[in-house]
Parts: sequence; structure tokens; C-alpha cells
Amino acid sequence: MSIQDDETLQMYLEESLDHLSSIENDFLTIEENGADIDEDLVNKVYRAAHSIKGGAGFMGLTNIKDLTHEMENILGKIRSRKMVPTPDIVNILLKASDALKALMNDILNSNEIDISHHVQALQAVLEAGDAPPASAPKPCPVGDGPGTPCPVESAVAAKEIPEEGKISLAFPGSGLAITTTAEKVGPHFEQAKYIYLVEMDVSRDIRGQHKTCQGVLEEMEQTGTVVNANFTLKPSTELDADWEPDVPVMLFLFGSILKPGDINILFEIDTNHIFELRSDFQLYDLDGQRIASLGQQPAEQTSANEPPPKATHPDSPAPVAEPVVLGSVPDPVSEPLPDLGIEPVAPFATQPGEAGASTARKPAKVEHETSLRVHVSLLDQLMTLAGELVLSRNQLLQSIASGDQRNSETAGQRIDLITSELQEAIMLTRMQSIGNVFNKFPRVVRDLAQSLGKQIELTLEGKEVELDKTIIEAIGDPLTHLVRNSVDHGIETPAIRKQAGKTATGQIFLKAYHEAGQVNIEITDDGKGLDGGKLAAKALEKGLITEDQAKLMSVRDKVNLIFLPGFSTAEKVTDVSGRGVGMDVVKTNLDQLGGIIDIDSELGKGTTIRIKLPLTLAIIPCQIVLTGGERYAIPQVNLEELLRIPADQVRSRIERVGDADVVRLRGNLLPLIRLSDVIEVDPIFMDPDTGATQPDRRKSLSDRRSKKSSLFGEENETLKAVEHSDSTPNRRNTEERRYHAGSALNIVVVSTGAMKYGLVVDELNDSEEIVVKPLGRDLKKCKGYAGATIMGDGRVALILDVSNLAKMAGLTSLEASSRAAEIAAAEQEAVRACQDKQALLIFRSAEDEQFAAPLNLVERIEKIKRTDIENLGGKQVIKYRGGTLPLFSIDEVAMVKPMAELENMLVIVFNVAKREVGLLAMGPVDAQETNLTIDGVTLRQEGIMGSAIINDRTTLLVDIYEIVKALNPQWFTTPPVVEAESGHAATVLFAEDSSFFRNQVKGSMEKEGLNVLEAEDGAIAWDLLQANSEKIALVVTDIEMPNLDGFGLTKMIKSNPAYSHLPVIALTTLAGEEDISMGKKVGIDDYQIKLDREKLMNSIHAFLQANAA
Amino acid sequence: MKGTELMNTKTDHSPTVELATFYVGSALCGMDILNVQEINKLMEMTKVPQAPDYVTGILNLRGQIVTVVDLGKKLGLTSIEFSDTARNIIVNSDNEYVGLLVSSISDVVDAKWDKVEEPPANIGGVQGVFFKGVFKTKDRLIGILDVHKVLAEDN
Repeated sequence: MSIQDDETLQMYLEESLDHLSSIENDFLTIEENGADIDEDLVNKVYRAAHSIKGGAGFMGLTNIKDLTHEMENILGKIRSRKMVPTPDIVNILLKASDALKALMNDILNSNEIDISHHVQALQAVLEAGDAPPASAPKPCPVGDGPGTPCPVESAVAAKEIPEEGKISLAFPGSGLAITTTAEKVGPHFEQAKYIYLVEMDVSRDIRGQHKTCQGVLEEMEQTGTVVNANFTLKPSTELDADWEPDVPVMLFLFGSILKPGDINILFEIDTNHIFELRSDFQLYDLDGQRIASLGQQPAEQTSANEPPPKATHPDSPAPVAEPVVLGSVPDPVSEPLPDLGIEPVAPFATQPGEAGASTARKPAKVEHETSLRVHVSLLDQLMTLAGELVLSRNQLLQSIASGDQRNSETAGQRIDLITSELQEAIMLTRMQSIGNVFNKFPRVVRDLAQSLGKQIELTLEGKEVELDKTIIEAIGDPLTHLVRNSVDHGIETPAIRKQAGKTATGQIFLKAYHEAGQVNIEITDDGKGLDGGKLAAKALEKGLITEDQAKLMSVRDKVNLIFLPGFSTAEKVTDVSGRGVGMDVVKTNLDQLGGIIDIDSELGKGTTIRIKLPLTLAIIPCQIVLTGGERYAIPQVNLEELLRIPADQVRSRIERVGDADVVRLRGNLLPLIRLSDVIEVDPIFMDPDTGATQPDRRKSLSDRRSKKSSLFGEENETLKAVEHSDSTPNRRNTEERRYHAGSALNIVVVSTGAMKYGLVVDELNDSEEIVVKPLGRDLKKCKGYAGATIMGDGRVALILDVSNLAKMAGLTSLEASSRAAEIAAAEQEAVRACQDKQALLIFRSAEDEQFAAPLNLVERIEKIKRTDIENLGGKQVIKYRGGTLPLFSIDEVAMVKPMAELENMLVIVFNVAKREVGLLAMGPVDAQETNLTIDGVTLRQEGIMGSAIINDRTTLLVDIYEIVKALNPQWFTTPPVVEAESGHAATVLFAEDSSFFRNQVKGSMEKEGLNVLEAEDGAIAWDLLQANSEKIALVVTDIEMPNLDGFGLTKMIKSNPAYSHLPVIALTTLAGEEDISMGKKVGIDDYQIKLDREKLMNSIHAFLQANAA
Repeated sequence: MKGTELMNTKTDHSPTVELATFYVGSALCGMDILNVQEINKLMEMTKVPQAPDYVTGILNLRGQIVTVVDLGKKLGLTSIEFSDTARNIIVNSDNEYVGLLVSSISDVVDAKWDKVEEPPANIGGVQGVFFKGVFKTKDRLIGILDVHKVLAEDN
């Protein structure tokens, strides 16, 4: 057997798998294009198949070669537009490529796998494609495409060969001749192969050399293809060792990659019996001398049928009836039906392996996952880093040897830097694009859609997003399950879709993107969605939730029930889903990867599934905690927040519900687990007086009540008092300890997707990046740990598995539903918060006083030197863009700390009253989009509109108008107060839900002499409008409001003839294009930004004047 | 793996075996020295709460996490005392490093397989099944431990 050395095979395998991976999707595109053939694409696939075949021929992988050959034939037809790639044809091609993949995966045994049905199917396609143009003489069904070789000639009937195309080849002086056609030989030339005419005397050249005919043929098959022969040729694998041809002298045309100089290594015969046939159809001897001019001769002149005069057995009957083509057993063309049921005719493809037993085959599979392709530039980078590391090590060793503290420190820092870079670079080598997983979905979706009679279009996005190899490998199955679910349960059949008013073709979007150091995958379909009610009913029926719970659940909660174990909604079990593996398995798989899954669905509209995955598993950031004197690591993905409950709040915030402790956290109850209880160690607390650690013997977390608060308390306290008097006799009393800072509770709030709880630990340490190491088999039963890691000091710390800890502590999945409710609430809140988000510029004017101003008022920020500032006419100015920019600082108006005296300063340029002014400030400057709870009272003063907490600091919000107005009142020309017809000041109806903005804007409107009626939301505004319809001259409304939003309010106003004349100005924080066009549609007259007071006033005045006129 | 196989076939290619001997409590045991990766003094270990009682802890052996097994407990004796003589014998079992905590270590003894006798049902309170055989020297009796069996799960 000619399986070459492992390396060559490995290279071939990698390359072929590369080709194969692209082939599948290309087939699908070809199918999609249908008759409109994209030649480039077909060519690409054709080339891929061709190179796989070429390599396979070289390696002696006959099965692979045959299969690709047939695929190539069909592709050739498609390329030359002789065949339209119908779904049926593509189906067969796809199946063949699957089979090819299977062969590749078990390449060493590939020749023994039965692929005959694939070959037959392909051939049937080919013949079916041939059938219509059969009238046109086509000697070789595959001979039309250039480069289409035709080693399997079985499909050709000799009688179909047109007479004029025949070439007869013979050795001079020999009566034996072989007939062939240019079309048959041609392709072999194009494959850069040499074609030889070989004559072998069975008795002299084979038996005399102690060879067997079968052996010779097998060797020939491995290095080339027998184009034609003068005897009935069968694949060597079908032959017995003692098989001999039915002619005494074998004559054959042999196409091979072996050069003339090397060809005789194969045959070991007299070189007079090997000639080379060149593309001019002339025979040359192996030295390149031309032998004879053969040309195209009438076949009758030297017919192969004639018994050879020199035959060793002249008495024997004529050996062959006609010039035989290779493997001429049954002629499929002449068969009545070009059906798939024909006996396999591919000579090399059928029943291989029987004779192959003589060759030693390696039973082991080649594991192609063991190697990885890495970009050379990345390797170079690694190389450079390795070099630097060595240099730094030398430096470090040297400075340690010489006791040079300074230098060893720098070397240490360098090594630190290089190590992180090295780590990053090595991680990159493990990164693979998610396209590897995504690319199989077009096929999955297509096949499934076809079998279910659905029309589905799959859109892939973000294929280039990279993830760690291990994760890529692990998410394949869960993702496939989800995609299949979408196809099977999500998308409806075309008929139903049409009834529902949707397009017949369903859409599935698969999208991957990076966000916050994690990879997000979204699967969206526009199918029927999930019926929350049905899900809840099912969960109820299965006893997964209680009726009370079901009542309290939102739709979203109900949809998320699908992740509960033991939940499968498939009404009828199909072969696609509903095999008992439900979404809970998907979820478990993702949990193991540290991923999070969430589902969002609207009945009738579609479903979106979101998955969040860590980029890598090998090195993960962890929170280190201390319990019972040992360190434990909690993966950051599970970490929600850290909570420290001061000793004096423990009593009020920790409660005991049943036998579980809970903590009140922002209005929610969070179940608590004491880590020391779950893993059964003794918790330790630091004695506040002695600094020594002592066992903490509190029976429960809530066991911190004051001495007389409970009847049971006393017993506990006395017990504790005794214990403590034992251990620390000098303790003053037990009461004190409970209120000491050391008694504060440290809680790590962790989430495991559906569940969230607080883990009480002794101490909180740093957050560290750790390398995950597996635990030994003796510890596999300890479910609470996900592994171990080595800390900086060389000691080992265990990594906690928070979801298993919850199970161990008996937190059931009941919390899952309450968790889902919380998620929903949190997200709603987030949505709300988004709507009131305000973009702010944060800056300082003195070291420890933080200010913020609305970002949309800021024109530019300039860096200046203090020396550039000029004092002219009692005012600070600076030359700026060819003009003079007046400068001011906040402390000129407001009572704040004086401007710091710095060499380099910042000027924030605002545009107020159509003039540019500069506010002196200092860094650091930061722009932030935050949702603020603004306190407009406590710190309100002239120039300061209020305060808010930004980045944990109290920040003063600067009122630029007020400051500028205070400094330059002459800039502001108050427009004449517009009066309503009644002679009173005009009344404006103002709807805004944020009290801060309401007061701000109302204040400024009132300053302009307007009457303001304020409303907290659209509904109230509507009521006010109806009650005061005569007075109101104009409506100013916020867009995002509860109950009735600005759009709704405007719609009601504009559609009511009584109010439709009222101008409506909408206020937003950020006016997006969509909002504006939406607003225009409902009839909003103008858009203004909330804190741009000047423009708002101008707009109001303009409308009022227009109305008055 | 290789080591385990060596131990499991008493009729080894070589007729002799070098035994690393050590004390578990007062019982003298030995094992094929080829199984021994290294012998360490007791290093700082990390306790694993809820681990089986015979697991003393885990330690960091040059970047590998090694489970340390109290051989006394594992063999059904009392646990090994953390004394100055106590040592950690690191063995490779099923492609995994395991540390065997022993009371003290003793000599390396050359033993001939044909001199090794079948183990009795009980050697110093340890079940006979854990031994491959017993080797008698002039003054001592060495129980040759079948490390693979000792470390096999569920016993």
C-alpha cells in the first residue's frame, strides 16, 4: 500500500479538509443560483475537488479519488452549463461530500469503506444529465470539460466511439494494437501526466520475475490510471493473487505521474516495451526518440481483435471479442434505466480491501484535531517575545548574582510585561473564528427545511469573531440544537406563514459579536415565537412550578421556563428535536463553558436567543475569597457584585425565611449561602482586639440579634460568652463583637444564569487572573470545585463551581423563576434608564471638585497655557481662531473652590446666546453617558443646577446659561413676552417624567414669562389639556414617559380637531434620526434638546408668535 | 501507565525488581522503584473540604496539581502523623500524579521475583489484596504494594 509517510498524509489531509469545509457552502450557493451559474464559484469547487482527487491518486486513496472524480464530472457539466444544479443534484453532491469527509476522518481505512452507493448516485446524475443531449455524439460523458479526466471508462460503450476519432497504437513489429480515442487520452495529458504504452508478456515479464499480475496492476493503480488495455481489466482488489489476463501479452495505455526516466521502476521490463505517448499522438521511446508516426488510422487496419501472430499459444481462441475498455462489465448507458440501482460499475470503488489484506494498514485513526494552523506573523511575534524573555532572564540572573536590586526590579518588570504579551500571543494561536461552527448551519438549515417543507433563509453575521478552540468545539452541539429548534419549532410552514401575513420564506439570523470582553451569539427567527402561557401550563403540569408562581410570572419569565430541567415542549416527537434532550441540556452545556443563555420571544413574531460566552477557558479572571483560612477562586463570569454588610446593618438586612437566610438587596430578597456551611469547614473571623484568627461559631447568619431580642437568643449568647471567655479571657463582652467592623458580612453575589445568590465568605481578597488546572480523580466527586489553580505564592487554591454549590446547599430551581423575574425587571429598568440617559462632560476646576455639563452644549475642548490668557477690560480672554474668546470660571458665579492655578489649562468652549464662551477647567476630562438621579435641591445655587453621583463622586452640574447670564446679562435680549389673546401670559403645557428636567425647563420657561402647566406623564398631560383647553397655547413634551409617551400624546392632540392647532415641541436627550421621522409622522412640530434652553425658548417664541399672528 | 503495567505483571521480563521501601505506621511496604517519580519532604498543602477522608490535600508540584493521599488511611490504618520523617512519594498513576503520604522512607532493596511469596490475607492490618506479594529479607518482611490497586477508585 502506498500510504506515504505520515507527514505527507497529514498535509494532504489538512489541505483536503480545508477544501471540503468550503465546498459545502459553495454547493448551497450553487443550488441557490440554479440555472444562473456562477462560473467562478463552480470553478472554485471544481478545483477543490480536483486537488483532493489529485492528492488521493498520489496517495493511493482510491475511494477518495473515485468519489471526487465523480463529483468533478458533475461539476464539469454544471460549469459548461450542460446540467442545471437542481436541489436533487446538489443533494447528491452534498451527500457525497459528507461521505468524503467521513473518508477523510478515517483516512487510513478509507479504502475499505463502501462508497459504492455514492458513486452510483453520482453516476446516475451524470447519466441522467447526459440523457437529453444523447443525440449529440459524445463519446465520453465527461470528456467535454477541459481537465476532466476519465479513468473510469466503464460508462463508455465501445460502440459509441465514433470511427474517425480512433487511434490505434501498437509496438512496431508487434501484431498487438490498442485502440483509443483522442478524447479519452486527452484529459490525461492535461493532468500533467505521462501516458505510456506498455507491453508485458505474462510468462516472461511477470511470472519470470516472480510477480503476480494482480500485484503489478495494484502497483499501477497506485501510481496512475490504466487508460485502456487489451484484456478485460478489473480493479486489482477484485482479483485473486493468481489471476492472469486472458491474453498472453498484456498491452495497455497507462497514465501516470511517473516520468519517463522513472517509469520502468514500476515495470522492470525491457525498455523496448515501454513507449511514451505524447500529446501529438506520437510514440516516443523513453529516451525521447520518436518511434513511428501513427496518426489516426482506420481502426479496421490493425484491430485489436486479431489474434496476435506472435502469440505464445496460437491455438487458443481469440482472447477478446472487442477492443475492451477498462472495466467494461455492464454498460450503464445501454441499461434500460439510468437508475441508482445498477450494480456498482466503478472498478476501483467496489469491494476494496479483500486483496488489500496483504498490505499492512495502520488501524489507528489520524487525529487531525491535534494540529492547528497558525499565521506565520503570529509565530514570528511569539519568537520575538521568546527572545526578549531570554534576554530579560539573563538580565535578571545577572542582576541577582551581582545583588543589584534596581536592575533586578527593572528586569522583573520587563519579564512581567513580556509574560503578559506572551500569554496574549499564545492565546491568539488558540483563537479560531466562529465561522468554523457557523459554516455548517446553512447546510443544516437547508436540509432540515427541505425535509420539513419549509422555506428558510439563514443569514450569518460575525463569522470572523474569534473564540478559544475549546469553546468553539464545545458550542457546536448546543448551537446546532438551537438552530434546529428554530427551524423545527420556530419557523412555520409557508402556508401558515402566509395566513399569518408573513412572507413565505422564514428568516433565521445567526449573529456573533464581541461585547464587554465576552462573545455574544444571537439566534433570531421570525417564526411563531414561544407561547408563554403554554409553557407555564406545561411547567405547572409537570410540577416544576406552583400555581402561585405561574400567576406572578411575566411572559418573559414563562418563556425562560424552557430552560428548566425536565422540560420539553415538542408536541410531537420529530427526528429533529424532542428526543428528550431539551433546552436544559443546552443550558447545562453552556453553563459548563461559563456561558449564559437568555431567551426572548414574542408570540407570533419570533424568538431571540442570546448566548454570552467567555473568550477563553484556560486563563480566567477570578475573585479570590478567603474562608476557613483557605483561599478560593470564584470565576468572574459568575460574579455579579461584592457586598459588605456592616455589622450594625446585619440585623436589619439579613432575614431568615424558613430555614434559609436572605439579604435585602435593592428591594429584592437574595438567598444567602454560607460557603463554610456548604463545604463544611469552620469559618474564621479576625479577632478585632488581638488580631488573631478565631473560629466563628455563629449558628446562622441572622444570629446577631441583640441580647434580649429573642428568647432563644439568650441561650445562644450564654453559650457564646462561655466560648469566648474560654478562648479570649480578656474580651470585654460579646455584645461588642457583634457590632464590630470585623463582624461585617462579606457577600459575593454570584449568578449562574438563571439563579442568583449570595455566597457568604470570611474575607474578600483581590481579583486575579488564574490558570485553571484539573483536579485529580480522587477529588472528582467533590462537586463544589471546578478545578484548582496555583497562586502567586505557589500554593494551590480551589476554584468554586457556584452552580454546584447552590445545588449542594439545596437552592432549588424554584429560585430560577424568581431570578427570571428579576432579570426581566432589571432589564425593563435598564430600558427605562437608557431613555433618560444624559451625555455629560465631566471635568474639574479644582483638585477635588467634580463638575459636569451637558455634552451636547459643548463645542470643543482646547488646551491652553496659563500665559496665553489676557486680562482685558476686567475680563479674561484668549485669542482663539482669529477672534477673542471670553473666558470665565465657575467660581466667578457659584460658591465653589477657586480655580486651581495650573500651568496648563483646559478651555471648554460652549455656544451660548450665539456666542462662543470658554469655561476654564482642568482635567481629567471624561465624557459619559449615564442615567442620573439628579438632586436639584441640596446643592442648588446660582450657576449650579444640581448634583448627582457620577463615578462614586458627588458631581456638580454646571448651568452654563446661568453663569454666562450672570456674567454677561447684556448678551441676553429677552424677547417680548408673548401674550395670549386674553391678554395674559401664554400658557404652555409641559409633560416630563423626570422631576429634575421638569423643574429645570419649567424654571426657564417661567423666567421667560410663560405660564407653565406641568404633567408627570402623557396621560396626566392629556387630562390637563382637556381641563384647560382654552388657556393652553403650546405643548412641550418629553418623548419617553410612562403610561403615555410623547408620541402617543402628540397623536391624540393632533387627531383631535379641538387641539390639532396646538404646536407640539418634543424634548429629548438625544434626538435620533428615527425618532425625528417617527415624530414628524405623528405630527410633532419641532424637536429640541432638553438642556439647550436657548434654542427651546426661541422655538417656543417662534411658535407662539406664529400662532398669535 | 507504563509503571503500572510493570507492577501488575509479576512475571516481569527482569527477574529482579528494585523496591523502594517505606513505613506506613509500623508496616514496612515496598513498591517498584520505577513507579516512584520523586520523594519529597512535606510541602505546604491546600486542604480540600469535603474530599474523601484519605485525601490530605493538594499541592503544587512544579505547576502540576498533585493530590496527596494518606496511605495509612487509604490502607485502612490510622492516618499518617505529620512528623519530620514523613515523606511524600510522588507516583504516576493513570497519567496523573498522586502523592502518597508515608510515615518514613527506608532503603532500596533488590528483590528477586521468584523469591516473592503470595501475600497473606492480612499484613499488619492491611488487606492482602493491596499487595502483589511479600518479600522476605534476612530480618524483615516487605509487603510489595500494588499501587494501581491501592489508588483505584472506590476502595
